[in-house]
Amino acid sequence: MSAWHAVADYVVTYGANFQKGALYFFTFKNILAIFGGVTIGTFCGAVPGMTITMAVALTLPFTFTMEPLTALSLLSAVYVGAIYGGSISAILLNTPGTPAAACTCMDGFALAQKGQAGKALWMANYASCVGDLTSTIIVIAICPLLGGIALYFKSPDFFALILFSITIIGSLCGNSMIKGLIAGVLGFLAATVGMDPFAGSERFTFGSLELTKGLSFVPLLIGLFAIPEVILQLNRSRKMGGRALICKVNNVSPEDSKLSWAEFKGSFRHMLRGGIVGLILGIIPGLGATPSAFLSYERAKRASKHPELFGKGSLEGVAAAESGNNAVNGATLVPLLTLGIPGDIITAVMLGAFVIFDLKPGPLLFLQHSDLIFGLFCALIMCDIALRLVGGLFIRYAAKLTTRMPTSLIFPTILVLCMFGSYAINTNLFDVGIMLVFGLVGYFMALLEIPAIPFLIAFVLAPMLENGLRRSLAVSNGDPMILLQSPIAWVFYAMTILAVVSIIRMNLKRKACKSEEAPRGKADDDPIRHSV
Amino acid sequence: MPDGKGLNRDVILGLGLLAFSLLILLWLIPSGVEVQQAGGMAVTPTFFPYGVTAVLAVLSLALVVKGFAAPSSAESAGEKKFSLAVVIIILLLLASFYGLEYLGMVPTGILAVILLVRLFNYRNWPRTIIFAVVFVLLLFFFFEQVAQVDIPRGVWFDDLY
Repeated sequence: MSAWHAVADYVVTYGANFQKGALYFFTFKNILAIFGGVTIGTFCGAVPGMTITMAVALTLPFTFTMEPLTALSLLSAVYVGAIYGGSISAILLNTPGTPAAACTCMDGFALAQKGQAGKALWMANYASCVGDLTSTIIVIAICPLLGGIALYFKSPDFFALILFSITIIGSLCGNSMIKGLIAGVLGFLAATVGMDPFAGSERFTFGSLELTKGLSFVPLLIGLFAIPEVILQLNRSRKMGGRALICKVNNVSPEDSKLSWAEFKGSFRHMLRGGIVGLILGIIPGLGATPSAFLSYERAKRASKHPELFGKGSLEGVAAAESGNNAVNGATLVPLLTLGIPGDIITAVMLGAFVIFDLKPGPLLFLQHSDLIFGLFCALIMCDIALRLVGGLFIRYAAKLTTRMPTSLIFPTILVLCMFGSYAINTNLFDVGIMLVFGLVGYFMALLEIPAIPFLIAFVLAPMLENGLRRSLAVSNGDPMILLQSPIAWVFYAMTILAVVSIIRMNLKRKACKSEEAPRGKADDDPIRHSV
Repeated sequence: MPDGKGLNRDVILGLGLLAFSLLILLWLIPSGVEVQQAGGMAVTPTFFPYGVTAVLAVLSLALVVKGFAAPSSAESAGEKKFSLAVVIIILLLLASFYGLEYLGMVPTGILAVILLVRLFNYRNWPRTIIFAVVFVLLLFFFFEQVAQVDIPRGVWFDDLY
């Protein structure tokens, strides 16, 4: 059989299956589940401390009496909504509602401070839809093929992939490369606290039972990002007699509240790229939305005509981060559906839902329940439509309500939200302590101009890097040459070298630009500092 | 022309981090990491912490060298200055952690909101109290009733509600 015949056969089979799935999906209750799920997810994502995992896990018990497709549609919708919802508080409060939205803070909040919160929120909404839709369409088209690629990944390949992901730190170091790298190294060190997953021995726990599980990610994240902002806003607010606002909302021109076609068009390529990045990272088990957002952001920064605006209020930055993190939604389902392996914690919860309905995810699922699988694909597309509509309503409501609140009321409430949120994750007061400690760490890092983002990225990637390295060395009885034997790993090493060279070049270029600008009297190019 | 403060800050930070990395290398790793050398295990649990800390030491030295060679500007925005209000908020954060254990999350949350609102220069007492009580109770009911999270009552008020 020729290649053309094989392709034609593939297309015809897919077309027939898709039609079956669409007929199965398009019922009133399934569509209601999608819109309800996106609303719940967006709300939970927007509340700092309410994690995506918590939102999906809390929804799971309500699905027991539903049909499998309705239940899976609802869970997917909550997931999609929650990832998007994280961007709302990231933009308006500089507090990522979800870890995946941490990257959106950098430009989203800077735009909000310049009175362009509306623009940033709309861009996040459009980018989320475009990124997710791009990834979902590709997932639907080539789902079995993509699953096959991830299947070939071994420990050395995984190590090389994480090594490549770490180069993100280099491009997000801010003004000082050394301080950014120090932040990254401190993040690596923080990640070593707890039970060593490989040998089962304790590291830096010093007899504390709570520390054996390691430093909880969400309290650490909330602490690093929310508490320093509360303290910094305190100084700002006291200087302005408690009347200071988080975002500039007075005298905001209508153009600043809406996204123009030209701005959307200018960022469209970053949205598509984010969709592809999210697809690739989402399909590899364990990576998830946070690295995807940062990698998409970093790629967009390199490709942009205005990289100097990134981190200071760039719409392209918001588009890249949001499309990157939302594009993971559909992609994480690929290893789950094709291999039965949960790609992240959310798909692990969804695996639980499959088990409840006596369904076993894996290659056989495509043969035995193709209507369910393709119905789920239709649900993912419908999620993007719902996200666009529900997100639009949410922006109008959230922007009006939140940006008009003075700091004297909003920041005390953030602190209490952080306390409730940090506690609710594991119902453990120790997590509140972690949140407060890392809040103070974050504040002193801000004082010393050490960026928090590299710390966070390193904290997420460190366990994956260590596991990849140690598993590889265990397989080879300590021979490091195993890391160089795989062609897949070589591809990632080559990409790492290219990324490092590119980062060094970018830094040299930036320094050259700065030294050229200095004699002209451009003392401070930070718009955030003067915006409030 | 860079000023002396910038030089001092980078050098002091670099030296501080260098001391921290030496502390980890010489004391925290040997005393804080269990090494169970199982058969066939190529890399011990100390491998990664030692490697990462060594990199930290090198970067700290680089920061010290940079501090001498090309000190960064010491300008700092107003909100990044260490003030009495910042000291109070830090003490409030630490006190709230102990408050959670003894008073529980609701009274601690209400007190924290009231104190912070006052610290943020909002002067209306009745509104502040009403706002704090309503907001924290709403959160309490959401987490207790909707999210099914058992919010801590505190040692002193455990039987009260």
